[in-house]
Amino acid sequence: MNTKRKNWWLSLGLFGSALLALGLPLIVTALWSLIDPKVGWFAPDVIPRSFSTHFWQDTLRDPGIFRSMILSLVIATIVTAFSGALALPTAYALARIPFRAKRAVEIFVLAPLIVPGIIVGVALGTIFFRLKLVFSIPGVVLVQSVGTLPFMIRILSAALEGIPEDILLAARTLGAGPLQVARHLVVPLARPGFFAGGLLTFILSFEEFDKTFIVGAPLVQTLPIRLWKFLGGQLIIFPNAAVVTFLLIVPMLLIFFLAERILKEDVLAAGMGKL
Amino acid sequence: MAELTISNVRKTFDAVVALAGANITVHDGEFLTLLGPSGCGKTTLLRIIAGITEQDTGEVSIGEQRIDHLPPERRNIGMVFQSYALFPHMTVRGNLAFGLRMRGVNRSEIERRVGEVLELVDLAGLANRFPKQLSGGQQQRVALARALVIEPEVLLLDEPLSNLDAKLRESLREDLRDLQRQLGTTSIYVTHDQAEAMALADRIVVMNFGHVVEVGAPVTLYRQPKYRFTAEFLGNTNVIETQARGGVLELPWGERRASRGLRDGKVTLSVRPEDIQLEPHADDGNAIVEAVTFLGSLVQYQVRVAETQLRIQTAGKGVEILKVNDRVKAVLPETPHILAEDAPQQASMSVVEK
Amino acid sequence: MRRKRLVLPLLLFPGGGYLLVFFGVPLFLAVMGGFGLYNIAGDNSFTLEHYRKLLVVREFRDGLILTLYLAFTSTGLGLVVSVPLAAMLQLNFVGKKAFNAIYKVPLVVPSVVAAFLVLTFIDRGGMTSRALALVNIDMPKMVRDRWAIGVLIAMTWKSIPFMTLIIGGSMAGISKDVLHAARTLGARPLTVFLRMQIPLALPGITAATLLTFIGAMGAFVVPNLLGPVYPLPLSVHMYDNAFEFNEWGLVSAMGTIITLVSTAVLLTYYRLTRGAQRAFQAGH
Repeated sequence: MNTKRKNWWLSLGLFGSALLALGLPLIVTALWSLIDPKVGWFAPDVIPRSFSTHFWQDTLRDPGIFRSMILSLVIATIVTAFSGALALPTAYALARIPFRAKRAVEIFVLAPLIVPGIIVGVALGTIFFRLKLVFSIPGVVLVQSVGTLPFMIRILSAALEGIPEDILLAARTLGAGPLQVARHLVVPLARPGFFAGGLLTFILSFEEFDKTFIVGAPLVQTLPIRLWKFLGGQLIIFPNAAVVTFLLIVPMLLIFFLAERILKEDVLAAGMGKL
Repeated sequence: MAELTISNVRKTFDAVVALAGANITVHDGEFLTLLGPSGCGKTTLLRIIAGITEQDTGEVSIGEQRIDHLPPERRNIGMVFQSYALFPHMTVRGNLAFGLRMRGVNRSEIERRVGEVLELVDLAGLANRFPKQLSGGQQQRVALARALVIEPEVLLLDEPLSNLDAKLRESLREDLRDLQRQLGTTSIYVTHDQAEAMALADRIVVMNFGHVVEVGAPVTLYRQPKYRFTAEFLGNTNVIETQARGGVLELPWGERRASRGLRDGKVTLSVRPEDIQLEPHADDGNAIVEAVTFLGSLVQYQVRVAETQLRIQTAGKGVEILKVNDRVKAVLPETPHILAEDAPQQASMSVVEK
Repeated sequence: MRRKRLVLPLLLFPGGGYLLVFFGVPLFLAVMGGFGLYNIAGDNSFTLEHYRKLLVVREFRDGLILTLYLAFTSTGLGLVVSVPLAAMLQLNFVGKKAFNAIYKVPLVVPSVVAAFLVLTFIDRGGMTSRALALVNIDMPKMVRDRWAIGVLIAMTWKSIPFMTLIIGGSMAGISKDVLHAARTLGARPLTVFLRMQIPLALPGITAATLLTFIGAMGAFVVPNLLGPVYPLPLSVHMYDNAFEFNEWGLVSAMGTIITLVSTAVLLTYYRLTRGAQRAFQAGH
């Protein structure tokens, strides 16, 4: 019934759609990044008349871009670690300790996703202003964590929930104390979930815009904010935007595919599926 | 005529041969059992017949019509799954009506037939429950009813009783047999439980490692198994290696039996525990009792005759129960059953022939 | 027992406490600000002026309508693509592993980039329109247009992997035998999809729908870059009013309304799934 032979129509359709929806836009972007500044790329040319690496060089040499890239990566790493540390105890409690207000807490944990990033950004921004936390990395980390914690807590608690109670009890009868059980059983068994949560958080942080923009800009400029500057102003500078696009996407894609490679199963699907 | 024919059906999963060319004919109205240990291919064969798994080569036909290239929904075959596979989001009535709805049967007819089949499996009154609210035995009966209500040409059952406890299994087993006799539907039943197979089947197909070892009626397979695998898988037996020499069979502990015209060489015997005579308190006996197991209606002994261990079974009614280290005499039948040479498929794990 | 009493709040404190402070407080201030009780610049006095403005001033009313339109439509379109896609991903086909990685790409693409891709690819003057011009087909205006088609395309594009992941996870949890049983009873693959996979994956489908909808309500970047000149979605109004006009009260009121709509939707989710879970368990 599900033989690979019969379903090659499916493959064709799916890969064709992917080409149209993903491949072509990325190719066009690549072309934009390679146009010759002296010639440009104007209608009705379907393909640029001449190519040049000018914009790549220009952008890569721009210290601001480089700085933004590093900044984005650093912030994403800090946010992931920070969110993970905050989320873990709460996720553990939600996963393994039955208590009456659990449902309410679960809803509360998801609630930050309801409030638009702008509101959170503005409200926190005004408080941070008084605390002199605006335009700083810690401020951005704190504000981004509000958006990443719900996902972290949910994914982590789903991972922890998946460990059968019997296994842990068996370990206890064999003489393991709570901390040992945590170290030798809980952490290894929940590792795919941890990874999924960390991955998602990293990605969310890297591409976060709304809250970061309000709290961080203009001094803390992550890569998405940079890109926005190329697109939102009076002048739309496509070629620079195209280069920054690749700077934004390529590391993410690499990390993404590497992660899927390292882990045998489809971690993100498993983690998100339990949402 | 719902006669099912399976010809040369082969199936390989990656490097493992799940089915190495099965040839079976199921007669109209017959209750056939596929019996074998896990991994022998019986479930694979069942799923190929149902159309859920696709065979590599071979044909399946009902009567004159080939069905192996048809999708499952066009084969008119009912299937009962080991996990029951009831639709959790539908009531019992919904589950039963589903197959009829797919066939375009009109509403009043559906009502009638669903009511009928509920009576048949003794579940009237539970029509509006959800599967989650039923016991294991009830769920099993719904699964059965669901497959029967569409009046299929062939009924397939994949170890439907294995998830139930022993008492329930026995009583449902009998109900199943009665039902099948009453309806006369050609049925194929997969199990690894040899007692179940013998109790239910008209004929048993014994399978091992993707091969069909033997086919026959339960009595025939039990009393005159052709191969060692069958003898050991169905019930208990004593497998005794002997030598045939000059018209005589030499048992390992010195006794002899007539060899009935066999060529000289190794001969393997299969002797059922209940076929060995046990004479107690024999001071010149050939055997010592090593273990005693009292089972109520039966008593099982493990005795040692020289180097050979034998299992003997006697009725438990009224006899004296022997003790360990008692000296007894174990007497084999005059004409012990002789097994054929090992079938080639007795070898372990087949690999795809390149 | 007594230890457990202490342990629980201690465990909940880091994550829960953090959210209480860094989320609960802004929320509270926003609600207050909407009523004029928390003003960054100016005096604090209770007023319904901000809400009145929202409902009365045409551009804000239309902005709210546009926000709702974008959220509903992009979520709906996302569903139309994701549900069948998730079902297709349950099957076996050539190149499945590669495709599994590919379809997730929009997840890692920031919305800014998504907007950019639409601009270069779909906008008038973009690649597609130039290509079509070769065969004399005129491309309709899809960026900064009345129906915000470009915005919808970008938002849907971003939401598809997210929804597909969640819905696919739900579908994968459906016992394969249940689907096989339906086939043996005479159901065609399409019937199995409509009558078995969709109902049994409903928890995942509702979760995906609600999360996407809620996210779409607050979408800023894409509508800002690609959206029509009028009306502007509430999120853009919030931005303008916050940074250019310093109308914190108004911004808070807008944020509160968006939050209220999203909350209503979220509560509906929990009511729906509670009912569904009582009747049956997906799969098994």
